[in-house]
Amino acid sequence: MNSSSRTEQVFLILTALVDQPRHGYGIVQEVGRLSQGRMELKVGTLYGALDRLTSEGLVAPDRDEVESGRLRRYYRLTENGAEQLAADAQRLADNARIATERLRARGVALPGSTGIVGGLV
Amino acid sequence: MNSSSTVNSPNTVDMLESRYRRLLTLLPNSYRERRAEEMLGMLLDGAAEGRRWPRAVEVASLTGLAVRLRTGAVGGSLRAAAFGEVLQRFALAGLMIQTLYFASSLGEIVAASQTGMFPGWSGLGLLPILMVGCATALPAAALVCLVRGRSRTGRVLAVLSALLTCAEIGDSLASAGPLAFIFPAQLVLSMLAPLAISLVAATAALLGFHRDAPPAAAPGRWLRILAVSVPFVLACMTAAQFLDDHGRDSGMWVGAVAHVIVSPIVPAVAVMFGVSRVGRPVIWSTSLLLLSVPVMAVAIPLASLLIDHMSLQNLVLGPGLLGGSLIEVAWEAIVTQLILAIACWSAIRHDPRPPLSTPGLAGSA
Repeated sequence: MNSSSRTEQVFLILTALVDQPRHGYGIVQEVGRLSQGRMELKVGTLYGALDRLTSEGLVAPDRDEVESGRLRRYYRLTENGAEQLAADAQRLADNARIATERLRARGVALPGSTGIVGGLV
Repeated sequence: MNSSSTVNSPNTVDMLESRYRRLLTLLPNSYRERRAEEMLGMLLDGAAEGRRWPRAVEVASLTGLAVRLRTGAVGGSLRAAAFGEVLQRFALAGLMIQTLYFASSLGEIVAASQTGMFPGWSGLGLLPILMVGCATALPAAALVCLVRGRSRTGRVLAVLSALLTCAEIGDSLASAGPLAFIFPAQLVLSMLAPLAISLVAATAALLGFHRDAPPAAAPGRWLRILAVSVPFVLACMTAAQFLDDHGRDSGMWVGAVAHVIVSPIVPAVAVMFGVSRVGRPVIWSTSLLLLSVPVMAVAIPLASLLIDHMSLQNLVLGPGLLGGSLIEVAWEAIVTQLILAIACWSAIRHDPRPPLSTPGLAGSA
């Protein structure tokens, strides 16, 4: 999968692993936080993505722990994964900057900067 | 989490765990051995207190994963990966055949509307031509999308194409007029092939090009075959109508050749690639074996029916059409048989070693 076709879900899974290794449910919670509750990863989606990312060398299993009799396998972002994520983030930031500049030129107020979205002609 | 009246009792947790375990048996054995405990932990971590049954979205999500793992997703078995590749090639070959089938109809209908070969066809409006044009373009577009990695669009187009084929064939049967009474079995059989192929190609596209599937193999080859064969079939059919309109029986021969191209040529070319690539013969063999079944199911009874009706056809349609049809059907049957024979030979001769590797977690945990 090339960087341009990587989905938002996969982007957020990789982002969730930047600061520390996490187990499956930890990834689900972190992705929920990062997306401000907008995205809820389902078990099939998460493990399908983890299998693919592992096979691409972007993510690797880190360690296994057992808590309250439940197996928790932790995943970490690999160096390759960090590089790919950085490239994706840069591409998205560039796209966002271009869109922002054009919206400002059109006179659209952006949320979080000068107020609510409005003023559309 | 709420800890008053809905506190998880050991009994509630055990019931939920046991139901999750039962749900996880949907997954393929090898995957379950590697992942089931980890997934169970995740599901139980995310379960609300007091819950006794898995949620519907969890059931749907795990069912989807189980299907994807059995049809080529990374993490599935080697056999599943091979099956996924068979589904992909089956879908692409089916879409190719659909495209060529309707391209031949398009050439025929356009030429007939110009030359007035059949009464009633010369006055054809734009609508039927547009319909057949769409029926040609849809599977072609689906094929292009699938091989270029636009799986979601490709799957939608493949389904739309199958629906349009159903509508087209229903319309053709309804408008067959007196021919439907003279040759009802022939008409039904000759229309069953594109119908069956469109339906199974759409199903194979849905199953083989899911979001976790690997990209299609050799995309450039599919596009090159499409780019060459569609204009060829269109040209053959148009030439056939033109020649026939000028009173020459050879027109039917050209038409017969074009029809021969329509169904068996794609798998025939494909099997050559398959046999030449020793590492991957089983994929092609299985794809072609599956693909040849609907074609054979139609070609062989159609041939016998044509022979049975020889004298009647001769009377009604003329010797040119009879000769063309017989040659066409004979060719279709022979080529299909040949494909089947090569596929079987190839499957027996070579070690069925699946080509795809499916890296998992083994050794890295």
